[in-house]
Amino acid sequence: MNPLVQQALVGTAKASGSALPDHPATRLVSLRNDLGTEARLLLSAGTMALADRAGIMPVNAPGLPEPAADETCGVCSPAGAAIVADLVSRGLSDQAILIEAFELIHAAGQVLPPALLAPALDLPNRRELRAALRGVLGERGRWMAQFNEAWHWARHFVDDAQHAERLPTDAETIWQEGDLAARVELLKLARRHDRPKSREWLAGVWNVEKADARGRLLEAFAMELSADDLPSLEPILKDRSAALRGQAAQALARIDQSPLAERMKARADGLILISSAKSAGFGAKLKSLLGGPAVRLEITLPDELAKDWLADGIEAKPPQGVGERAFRLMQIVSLVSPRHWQTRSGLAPADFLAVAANAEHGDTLIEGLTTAALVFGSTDWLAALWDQLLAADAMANQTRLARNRIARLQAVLAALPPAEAEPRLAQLLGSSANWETLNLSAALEVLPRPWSESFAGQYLRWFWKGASRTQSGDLHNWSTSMAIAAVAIPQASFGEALRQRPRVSEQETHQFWVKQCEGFQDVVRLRQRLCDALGQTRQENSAR
Amino acid sequence: MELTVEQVSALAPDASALAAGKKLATPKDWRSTGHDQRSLWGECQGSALYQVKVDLAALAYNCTCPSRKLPCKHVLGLLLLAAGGGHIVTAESPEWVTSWLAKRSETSKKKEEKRQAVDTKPVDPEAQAKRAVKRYANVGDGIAQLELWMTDLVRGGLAELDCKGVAFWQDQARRLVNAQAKGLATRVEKLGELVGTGSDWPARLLAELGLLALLTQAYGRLAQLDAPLAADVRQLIGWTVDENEVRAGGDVTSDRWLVLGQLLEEDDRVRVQRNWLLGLSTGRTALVLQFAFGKGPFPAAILPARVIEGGVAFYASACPQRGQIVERAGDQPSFTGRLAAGTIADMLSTAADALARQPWLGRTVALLAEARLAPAKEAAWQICDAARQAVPLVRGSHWTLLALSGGRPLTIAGLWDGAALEPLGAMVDGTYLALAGTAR
Repeated sequence: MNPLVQQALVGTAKASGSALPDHPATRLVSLRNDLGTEARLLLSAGTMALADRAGIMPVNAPGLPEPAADETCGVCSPAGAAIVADLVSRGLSDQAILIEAFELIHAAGQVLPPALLAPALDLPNRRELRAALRGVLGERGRWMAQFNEAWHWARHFVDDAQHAERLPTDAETIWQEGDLAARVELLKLARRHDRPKSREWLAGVWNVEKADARGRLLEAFAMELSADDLPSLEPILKDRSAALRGQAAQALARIDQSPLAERMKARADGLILISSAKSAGFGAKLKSLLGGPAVRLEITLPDELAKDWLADGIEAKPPQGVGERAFRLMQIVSLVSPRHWQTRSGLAPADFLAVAANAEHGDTLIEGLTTAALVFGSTDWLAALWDQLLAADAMANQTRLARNRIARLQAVLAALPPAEAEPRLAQLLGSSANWETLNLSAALEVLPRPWSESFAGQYLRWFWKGASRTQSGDLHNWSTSMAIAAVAIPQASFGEALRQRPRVSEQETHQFWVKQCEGFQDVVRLRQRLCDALGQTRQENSAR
Repeated sequence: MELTVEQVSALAPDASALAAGKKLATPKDWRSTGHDQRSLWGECQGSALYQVKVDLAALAYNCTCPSRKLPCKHVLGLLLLAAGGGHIVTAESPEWVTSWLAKRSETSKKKEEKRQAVDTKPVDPEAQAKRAVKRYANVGDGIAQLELWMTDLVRGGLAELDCKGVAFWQDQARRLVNAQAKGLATRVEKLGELVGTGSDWPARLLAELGLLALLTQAYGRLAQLDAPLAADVRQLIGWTVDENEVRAGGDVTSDRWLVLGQLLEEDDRVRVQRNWLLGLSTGRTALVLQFAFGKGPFPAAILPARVIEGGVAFYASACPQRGQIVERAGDQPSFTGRLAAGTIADMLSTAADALARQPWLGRTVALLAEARLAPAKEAAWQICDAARQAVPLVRGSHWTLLALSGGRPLTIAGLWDGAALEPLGAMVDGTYLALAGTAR
């Protein structure tokens, strides 16, 4: 320690020696005999500080990083950048619009300006946000990410559009060093362009990664399957994680030639007997003659859980509120393609479901079929299930299936293609009675964005009708759906959303609604400015 | 009429006014908007119809709304709308704009006449001398008491200060304020902020105490100092210099002044804006301070990265730095071209020379050519020049600067404080960009 600092720290009253250190700066002060010890110490400290400040020397430059690669894309417009900067500064409060902004920039083949990179990389960790942000970071953003551990996730970007035909040249590096999201994207690409590589990669990580990471990788792997994937999937049926065992069983069930799929079909056929209604009792025969279904179902809940069932990923412990036997049946049915029942019964999905609804244990079968339709992506079954679930009398039917109706409806709606889902939801807009079975906001939330122009138009007509009322039974649905609609309607519907103005009246409640409408229009206006400034449109659903 | 969103944002009195202004930056909120060479105007429908006008030459503004925040959200909204581009057409200004501009011209003419009248107003030399004697006595007493206080600190040992609260420093600062030595009071308050921060705080505190002791010694020998250095010492103690005195001092430099950067300090009552300017022809640098009370506006609109055409009148000093803008002829929205810049060795040599002339100089402007950043994980980042020499970089805008550079050499403007360089802006693709100023 500098002796001067040492003296000052201890105090001149306590310090043993009070001699000033020999320094050109202190020599001048030493000449001032008229000053006391403390004053001389202070003046010496001042002159030495000044000498240090004036005489500071630079150091040799440390190693400098390699400069960023040249940007291959242009930077978005200054007007667009200004709006994005504002959105970024507000963090997650406008997350949906921020994602839209990033998607617009990416769609235009542009990237963020450098000044926005650091604040954008500092945005909170949200999977959808980061997925959109990756596309607009550009070379500069990925280069920046190497210097901050919190940004390492952004070092790699797997661009679907750029790699439509082959894997990126640095695929191995991305697989070894990239974050989970980048690896998932890369694995999806490998499934399209290099399936042996995808199997090799999956096998390589299986004993290394945690269960949730393996789950996401398996989900990516299972997108397009063939018999060649059986050796990769079958060992997963013995994994310690029940969720992974279930995922593997679902993947294997979707491979037509897989032994598991065949075993499941055989088990299901043993539990669900389909017979002609004519061979049944007098009542069934009469119904059949009067135009009712030509088949009857006999459903058996399995008493035992055989060892080979366990080995195929069937779980023993049911969730709360579900019986063990029912749970076994549901799992078996969920792993059989719904088309199998069409083939066996000769009935269309809606007719089969009608028969099932009247059969003993029919609700268990329908619950299994719902999962199967979701696993196998059977659009016709999903559509029939939607209609069937919606038509069921919720109040009269207190079965567990009825109690889970909203969750099931939402799951089915989310899995339906927009062209199928939107008309079904549009039908509900006019009928407040149906909202007892389905939460509108939750249903709108699962629709892919942007909505089609046609659906947005139907929503807006319903919306403005609600806005013109001061009292209405569906005002709650009306108001809670606005925040979703404001960020979901397509660009083509902006004009319609902004054309009307809420009527102002003196009633306090109505003034509240007016404010809500104005808030809705403010968001639409912001999106309009964004689209104008970025000069592009996202792919609209109207083209579907 | 060219403004950037960043420049308009710098005008906002606070974040909420800016957010409200952004909401109004859409054409649907405006009617009768237009602009000509001198002004920008528009009408905004709020609780009533408000007329907003902006004098583009001086960036002065007026709105008929009753808001106490200046500029109000309507002015900010109109400026942001203009900065967004494409929405405001060139037109002939309406009567309500021309009459306001005429009134402004008249008011500024009257102000100038009043200022000249004050200049020529006879002063009572006897009363003035009496006041000066009283003040010298007051300040002298305050300084004597400060020297005694510092002596006690060193005698008792700085180690004891670790357990002293803020009040210890504030009490001494208050005594100096009462003794009309505001400059010293501010320095004493800042000493308190050093204690306990970092393991080397005793060394840093002792250095600052030492510089303070040098200042009080210099004040005791004021008559022996050269006039410019004496002026520095008086200002550092707390003597204020009248605006007219600065103008009358005669050190006025006319140039095109690039606003290199703007730093804002805020406390409960007063906001201080520090603007660092560079004369593009003369190479002189200037620090222009502006003060605003509460949410009130700063006297003049000085926006980062713009070029102000006019004169800067410098305060008397052995190393003139602080100045005020006089005869503002107009603004240019940005600077494009080349800035004369040097190496780190040049920067250090210039700073040493400045300290030799004025030992208490805080920060000096530096322009580094071909500067590159060396990021570090935990240690301080370094800024390096083409000669492979480096000095530490102050964190704050370092990530933005790194992104702007992309690892390539840039001309960077900054403030050198004797230990590290604080970046103010950089030349990027031929245009000067100012980094966002923060409260310090």
